[in-house]
Amino acid sequence: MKKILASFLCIAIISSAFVGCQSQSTASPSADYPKKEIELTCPYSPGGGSDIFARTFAEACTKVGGVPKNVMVVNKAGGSGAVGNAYVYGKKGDDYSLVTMVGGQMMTAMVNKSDVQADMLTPIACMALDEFTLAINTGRYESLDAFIAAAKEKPGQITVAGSGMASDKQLCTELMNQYLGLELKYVSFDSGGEVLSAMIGGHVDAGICGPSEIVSQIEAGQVTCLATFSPERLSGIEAPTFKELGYPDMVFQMFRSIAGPPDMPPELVAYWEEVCKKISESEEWQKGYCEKNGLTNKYLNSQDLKKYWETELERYKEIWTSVGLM
Amino acid sequence: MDTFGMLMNGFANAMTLQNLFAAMLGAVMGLVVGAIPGMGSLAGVSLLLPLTFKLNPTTGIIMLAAIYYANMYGGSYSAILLNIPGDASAVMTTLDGNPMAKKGQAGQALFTANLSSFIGGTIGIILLTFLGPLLSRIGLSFGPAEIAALILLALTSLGWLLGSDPMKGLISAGLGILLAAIGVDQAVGQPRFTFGSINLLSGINFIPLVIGMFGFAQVIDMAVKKKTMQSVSMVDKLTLRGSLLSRDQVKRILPVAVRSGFLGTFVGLLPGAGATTATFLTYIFEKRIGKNRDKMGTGVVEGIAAAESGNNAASAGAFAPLLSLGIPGSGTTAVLLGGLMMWGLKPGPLLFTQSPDFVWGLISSMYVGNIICLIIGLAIIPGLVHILRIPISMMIPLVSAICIIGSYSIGNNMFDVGIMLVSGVVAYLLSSHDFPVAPILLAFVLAPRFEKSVTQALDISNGSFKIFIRSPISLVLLCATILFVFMPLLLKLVRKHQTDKLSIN
Repeated sequence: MKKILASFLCIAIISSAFVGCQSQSTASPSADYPKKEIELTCPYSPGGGSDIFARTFAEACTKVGGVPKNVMVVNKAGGSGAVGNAYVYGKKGDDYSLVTMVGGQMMTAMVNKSDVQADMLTPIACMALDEFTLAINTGRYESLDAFIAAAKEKPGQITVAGSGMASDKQLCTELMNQYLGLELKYVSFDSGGEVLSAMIGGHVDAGICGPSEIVSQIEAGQVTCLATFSPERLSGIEAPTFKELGYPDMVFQMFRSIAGPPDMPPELVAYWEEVCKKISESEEWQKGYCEKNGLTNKYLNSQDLKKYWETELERYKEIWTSVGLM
Repeated sequence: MDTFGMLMNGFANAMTLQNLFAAMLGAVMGLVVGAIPGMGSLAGVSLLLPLTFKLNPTTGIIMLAAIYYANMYGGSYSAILLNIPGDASAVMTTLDGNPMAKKGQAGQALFTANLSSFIGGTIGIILLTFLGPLLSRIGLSFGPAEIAALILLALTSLGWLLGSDPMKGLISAGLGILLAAIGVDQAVGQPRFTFGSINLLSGINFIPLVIGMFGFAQVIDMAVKKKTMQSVSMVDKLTLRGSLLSRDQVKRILPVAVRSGFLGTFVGLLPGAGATTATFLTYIFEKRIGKNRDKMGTGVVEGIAAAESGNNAASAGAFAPLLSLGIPGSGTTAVLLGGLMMWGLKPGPLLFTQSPDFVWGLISSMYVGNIICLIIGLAIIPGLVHILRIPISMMIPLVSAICIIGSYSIGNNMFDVGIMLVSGVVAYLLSSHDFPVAPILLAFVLAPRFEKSVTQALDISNGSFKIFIRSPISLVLLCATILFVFMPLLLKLVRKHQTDKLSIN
């Protein structure tokens, strides 16, 4: 019994140490930075949009960004981004740690009143923007006006599907309610696939979808896009933007940015800013990632990103408070 | 060109050396990923996706698809041998697989698992080939209300898994529901029972819970009882010949595997339901109507056949909405969808007409891949069974290490390891007092889905419960539920009435 216990404890401790160990570095950026691999935390599980963003970025760092060492992506999912945020917050002083920060992470941290709010981390650069569209199963409504009329006729009964609670998709729905004077009911699903199924299956009246999700559906005539929340018309989708229809406040894009642990030294931020700039100007990023995924390429340096975060936070706060989620 | 002609064309494409090699490589990777506890098809496919970008789309997707369905084969190995399910879709396999291994029939259990996986997978692919678009349309008509009704039907089957003491079984189920309630709730987005911990914000992860309740509890049991996993006297059936099934066993397996194949395919193509839900439903269904249902759970081939056939059929079924409508049927197919777009294909209703070479090449290679998996699976049975000969003093630390590493690998979080350890201890204590563990898991998986679907349905209907009655599918399922619940009571009354009549006469 003792032997068994001893060997069990041994293996348990060794494997725990193995998998639980994290490397810490206290070196400040110098001419030979980076000296080892960099860890890029993705606060969502593998396979999702953030994960693809992180992995594409990581590969681009070495390919076109000029980073001599590999960037390794580590998934730390949980709490809709809270676990990843907290993990990187605890990495203060570590020069080899980065994290992806998307609008949804910021929103949920706010709504859930998490300990680590997104703006406690250091903004480095914005890399891309997600666009949103209002889509319907072809034939359900003849036009956007018909949809709005139906919604006005039956307040609280017209349903709009989207993925996630207190998410970017729900925010779009609330924008419609606020500026078009409607009472649309938001129904949350777990993924874009389920949203499409609910729409096409006729269980909901409309859906908020990313352009890449519906491009082939539109081509097949299965789905029609009524309007988009983008500042300009989206390529491949022949639908008006809410802005051109007279609602400039209804523009919404979700940012995808790179951030770092709190109080990152300015030289380090500048280094990564440069890398991000190179990547965002490359063909690989623009054609290979943004276009293929229906994203808009957008580069903002750390100062501009910090201001952008602030304005977005204000916006989210206003909308979520008016809906009662905060 | 008719379907059969296109399929033959696809075979020509699938049988090229490059694609065959890709299928084989994918199959091996999938088997390994599936067998390793904690790593499931979702992680495996997403991590290996970037590697396939260098290949042409058809070859790439053949490899990824092979990883996906081979994962369902592999998951059964650790489930049967170590009582640790490779991932969520292998949980039901442990219920009969491991008892069989303990009885000295590990080889036969593995053979059954491979054979049933093959039958289920092939049925799924055949249905996909000839009825794919039609079935996808039917799947679309299952909205939140219909899925809620389906899950309710499944939940009533809890009674069958309650074991000898219904009260203890109900307490287990209640515990499962309570554990599932931890996290952010589906309706309003407010945290429940999280006690301020961010790790609990997304709830308890299923895999560490399962690894703990099955694997780690097993380790504690081994350490306490000092018994080997298999008595020394029964360690002689180590050859492939010794693992062959008797004709009687094969006769029993076939109907079960075929039934589960059909049901599993259908569940796989429902939105939001994947291999895990499928294997639960096929096992429950078999437990309800199968010939040998009383012995299920004690170590009979029917149990393995139902579970394994179900999860393989579901993985094939998940491709139906993906290929015919461009809508992913499960989490892993969602990753595949992303991959398809990266390769420049446009998944959607036009994929069959726009890229027929790709689609039929993929479908044909799935037939081939299934055969490859069967052959590899059967060939390594003797090797796998040898694992059981490892002495207990090495087995305990080895399995503990696998449990710890498997739980950590989910989210790179030591918290999951903690969950695993705690649930292992709790499960050991529960089972040593005759509380069944299976209802905990069933309730844990199905209750939140039920809650979510009901919430969505009520959101759609603006709070009115009439939505469950208005939909024909939902109505039928609800009637079936009521029938199943009251059937035993009705039969009793009818029988009593008949005996009364007889005694009067």
